[in-house]
Amino acid sequence: MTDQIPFAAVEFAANPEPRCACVLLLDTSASMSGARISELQEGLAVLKYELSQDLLARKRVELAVVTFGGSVRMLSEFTTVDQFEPPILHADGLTPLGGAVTTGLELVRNRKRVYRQNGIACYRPWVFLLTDGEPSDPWQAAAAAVRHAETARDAAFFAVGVGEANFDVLGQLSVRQPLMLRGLQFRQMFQWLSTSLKSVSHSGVSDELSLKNPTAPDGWAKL
Amino acid sequence: MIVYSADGKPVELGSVLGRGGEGAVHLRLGDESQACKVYTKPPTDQRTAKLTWMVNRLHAHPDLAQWCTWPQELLFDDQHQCVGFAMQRLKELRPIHEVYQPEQRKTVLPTAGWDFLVRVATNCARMFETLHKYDVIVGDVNERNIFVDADATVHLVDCDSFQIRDGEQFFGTGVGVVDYTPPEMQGVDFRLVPRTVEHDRFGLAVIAFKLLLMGRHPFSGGASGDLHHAIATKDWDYPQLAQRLRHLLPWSVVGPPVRAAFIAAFTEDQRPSAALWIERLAAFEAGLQPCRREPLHKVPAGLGTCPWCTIEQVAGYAYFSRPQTQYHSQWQSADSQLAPLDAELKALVPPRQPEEWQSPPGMEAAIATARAMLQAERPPDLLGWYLALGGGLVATGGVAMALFHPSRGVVVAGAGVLALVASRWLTARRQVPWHKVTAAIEQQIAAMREIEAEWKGEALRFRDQDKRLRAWLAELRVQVLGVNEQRQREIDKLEGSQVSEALRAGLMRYDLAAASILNIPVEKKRALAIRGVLTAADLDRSKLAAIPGLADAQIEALIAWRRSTEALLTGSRAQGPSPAQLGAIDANFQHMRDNLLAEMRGALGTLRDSGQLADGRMAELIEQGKQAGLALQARVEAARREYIEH
Repeated sequence: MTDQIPFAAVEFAANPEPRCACVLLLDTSASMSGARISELQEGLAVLKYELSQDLLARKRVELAVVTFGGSVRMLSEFTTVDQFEPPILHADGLTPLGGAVTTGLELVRNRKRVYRQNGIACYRPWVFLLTDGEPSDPWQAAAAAVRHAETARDAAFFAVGVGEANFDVLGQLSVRQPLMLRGLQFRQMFQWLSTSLKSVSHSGVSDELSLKNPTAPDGWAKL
Repeated sequence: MIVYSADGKPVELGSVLGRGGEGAVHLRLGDESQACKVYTKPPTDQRTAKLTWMVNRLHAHPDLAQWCTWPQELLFDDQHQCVGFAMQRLKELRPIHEVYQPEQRKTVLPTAGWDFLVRVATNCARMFETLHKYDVIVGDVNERNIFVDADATVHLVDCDSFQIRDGEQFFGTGVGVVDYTPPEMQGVDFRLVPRTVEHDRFGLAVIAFKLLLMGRHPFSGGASGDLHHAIATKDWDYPQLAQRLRHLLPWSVVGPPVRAAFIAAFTEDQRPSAALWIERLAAFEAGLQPCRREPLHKVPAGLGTCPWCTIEQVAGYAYFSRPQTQYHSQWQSADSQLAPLDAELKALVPPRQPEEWQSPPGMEAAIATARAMLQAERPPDLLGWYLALGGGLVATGGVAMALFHPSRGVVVAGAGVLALVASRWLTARRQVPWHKVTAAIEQQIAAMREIEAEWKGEALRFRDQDKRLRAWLAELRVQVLGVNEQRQREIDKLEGSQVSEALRAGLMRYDLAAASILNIPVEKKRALAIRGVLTAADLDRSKLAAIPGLADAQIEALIAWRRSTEALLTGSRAQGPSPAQLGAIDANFQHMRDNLLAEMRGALGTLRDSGQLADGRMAELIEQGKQAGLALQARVEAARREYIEH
């Protein structure tokens, strides 16, 4: 029998560290334009910077970026932090949030399969949703998929609302309590995300996420 | 910041070398060989007692500090409260994960082969052995606590977290990392259950495995993909995995005694001691031999083929690739390639020049004859003439006769008129008018002149094209010859800029984020990072001046830090362009020259084709001229017969 050699093998031969996949689902609908999108853009740079400072996290955390503004688009496929280039964001169109969540869950599922094929250990992937609006597409199926993924421990889903986000929908989407961003503290939010991913990617594969409370008085979020 | 040693002497702290969860490690000013750990929160009495015990113990057994940053001296604040300790300062060491990760290792230790990695593993075992000998348990074994020197020696840091038992005294560890925690301790609260030497032995085996098996955790590849679960259930199947995944080192390559030690460590409760690892790894390293193709490929004796070469072939990844130390250029001048092109060019004769037109035979003669005939008198229409004259006379005679003899006269006059009419009819029926004949001949001559003009035009066109192509070829030839010089210039330039490039590469390794610079808070570093200022290499005044919110003093501090970093680096400058750089230049210019030569060949082909085309076209026009001359001659003959000789 002649086995084919998947191309991915080289990537995992070069770097066999366990992986922590994190997909960012970013709302880039028209309402995000202006200060929001530019702060978010800087936030992505902060995320890359903060994670890069950690020699292990930069080899372990893999980031992917999916935007939903008008349509759901994959702007950056999973890459380890050392090779991640924050994509340029443009705000435009409606808010297909349901489609984005479904895409995000599928991405982490596929990525986990690739890890397994290549004998790479992994931490529970993160799906990090950020939105400032109201879904413009059906989202109920996505909510069911999130619940299923959480129960099966396939992914940890986090939802963050900005400004006029529909908190009620976020509450139904996420098993965890959704958070509301204070003002435009995107940088603080991404610092928190980076710290959390760093601690996840070191702790070994502990089941419970013990994260710093972002809703503390000095945190970036409120309930 | 000033702290005090036990005897009250002030100890001045320098810049921060590193920061952890518990405190910061500072440079000890005045003693380059030492660093000082100062806790953020004052240590508990328990911690102080532990440090005191460790410092005292070191006096009895100095070898405890041989391979780790064992506390050497306690440090106090001015209230005599312990705030930290002094220890050996580790310089320029690499965390062990940078050594066992293949891609990272190729960058930081480009000349390290498998034997180097085996040696690091053996040294790790020696390090553990030194501590275990005194009942010291590392406890928190992990890839961030072990540092590797360029000579493969290793050092442990964070020694204040070691677990120590001395009679009644017990100081625990309380922390640990899942990846290095044995099955029986997975999910256990480290603060509640004391560690044993068996736990350390599991951690040591994981470290050794990662070093020998290209950075892979022994339990990664478990069915669940989850390390905690895989270790807890002893779901260890590297041998099978390596059969399925061709980029993994086959299990059989690891010698049987070392294999057996790994299997025992991962599947049994009695794990190999550090002393056993030392013995087996040292024996294994002694049996390694370089493969014939690549000296960095170290192969156990008796193995038929080199596993590293095999992996390169079947999986396309080189676990070891040494940068070439010498470069033998294959560069040659282009003379041998130009010679055949020159010869071919020489053999190509340029097309005939426009002034070389020689009328085709018969053409000029036919024109001359035609011209002579046309210049001669207009030929008479004799028959018509006579008939008309006769008819006129008869008609006039008939009219006169009618005066005397009316009936006869009318008949004669009628006959005369009839003859006159007949003459006109005859003339009109029998002959093309002369002016039309001359016009036709003139037209034919003009057509022949056109053929002549076209020939000359074509000759001109082909000559120009030929000239253009030859000029282009000459230009290409000059360019081909110029590549030599261009290449040399590029090499000179590289050698000239080598120092600054080497320095730049060095500066890029110094992350701003990791540095502690007076007056530059973390927030400011973040602001710099967002604008692309990440390492010492990015620091120059013009760039910094463009960043809003940066005070002059801060710019000065950053520049000063860059300078001090430069000073550190000046010893490590490269000697000249690397073989890879030279190879790239050669390849680049060879490529450029090949393109030029290909273009020359193309131009020569066009020149040849164009010459053949010209020859054909010229011959065709000459033939046309010849045919037109013959046709004119025939027409002139016919006209002469018809109009003049009659």
